[in-house]
Amino acid sequence: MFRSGDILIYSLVALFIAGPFFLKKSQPANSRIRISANDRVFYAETGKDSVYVIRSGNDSTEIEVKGRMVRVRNSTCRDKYCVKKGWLKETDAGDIICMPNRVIVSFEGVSEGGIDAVTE
Amino acid sequence: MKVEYGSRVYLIGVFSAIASMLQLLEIFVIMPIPFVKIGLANAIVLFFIMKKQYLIAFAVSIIRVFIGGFFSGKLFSLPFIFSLSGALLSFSVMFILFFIFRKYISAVALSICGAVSFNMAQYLLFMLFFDGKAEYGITVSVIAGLSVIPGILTGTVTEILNRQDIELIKKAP
Repeated sequence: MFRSGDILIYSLVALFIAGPFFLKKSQPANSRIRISANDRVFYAETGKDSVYVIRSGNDSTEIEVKGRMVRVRNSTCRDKYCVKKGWLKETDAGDIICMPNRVIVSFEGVSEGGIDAVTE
Repeated sequence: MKVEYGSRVYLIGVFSAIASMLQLLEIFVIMPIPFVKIGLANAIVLFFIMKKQYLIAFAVSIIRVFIGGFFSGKLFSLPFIFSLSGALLSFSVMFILFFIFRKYISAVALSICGAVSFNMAQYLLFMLFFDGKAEYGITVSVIAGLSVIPGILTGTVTEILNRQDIELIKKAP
């Protein structure tokens, strides 16, 4: 038996079910990129396209920020794993690490607290 | 059909037993979609709510969880607590909706609300226990969407029960 109030209930339930598909996740306006070089930490803003060059002695690391992505564009290190890693997106977990130049690039808040387990 | 009873305890006892049996027998009913149960025991609770016997409905709803938990060996375990919280929320939602919109709402709509709230309570508790936070996301809509099917089934059964002209008559002491 169908009654008048049922339409309201059905539409409310349908809204409740369909809600998550229409809700967009609000993104933080501008997140920060954490660049750690030789145990010193710098922060770069996303949103602005820019290139940072980190020099220590004869080594240099070029870090390029484009939109909400970051990559190591060029590096003087031997294997260039950091360059091969490519673009790191804001949503990606993990970071770009250049061991010889001691540079770590990561998004703030994404790869923090990265200890999985501690054994004694 | 006339159901005569001397005291409420009689009705609570009989219908709790029936609800528990239905709940246990449902284990043998294979549904085409995994994790979906029909929830026929809820039909009895809804039947009593629609007969305005709220206390009996509440007692049946709680006792069936205890008996079901006892016979499935899950008494006082986590699934039992989830089930109990689901039963409590589902009863409250159906009771409040029926109490306010008695004339404008059918058994199927009530039953859908009950089923959705039952599963939502379970999901919320599960997430709070194991994840520490609960989000309104795709999981919620999948669970709510799946609980609509048993909601319609249970509501239809309640509608059929309501048409059977069953009268609850209290015997004079």
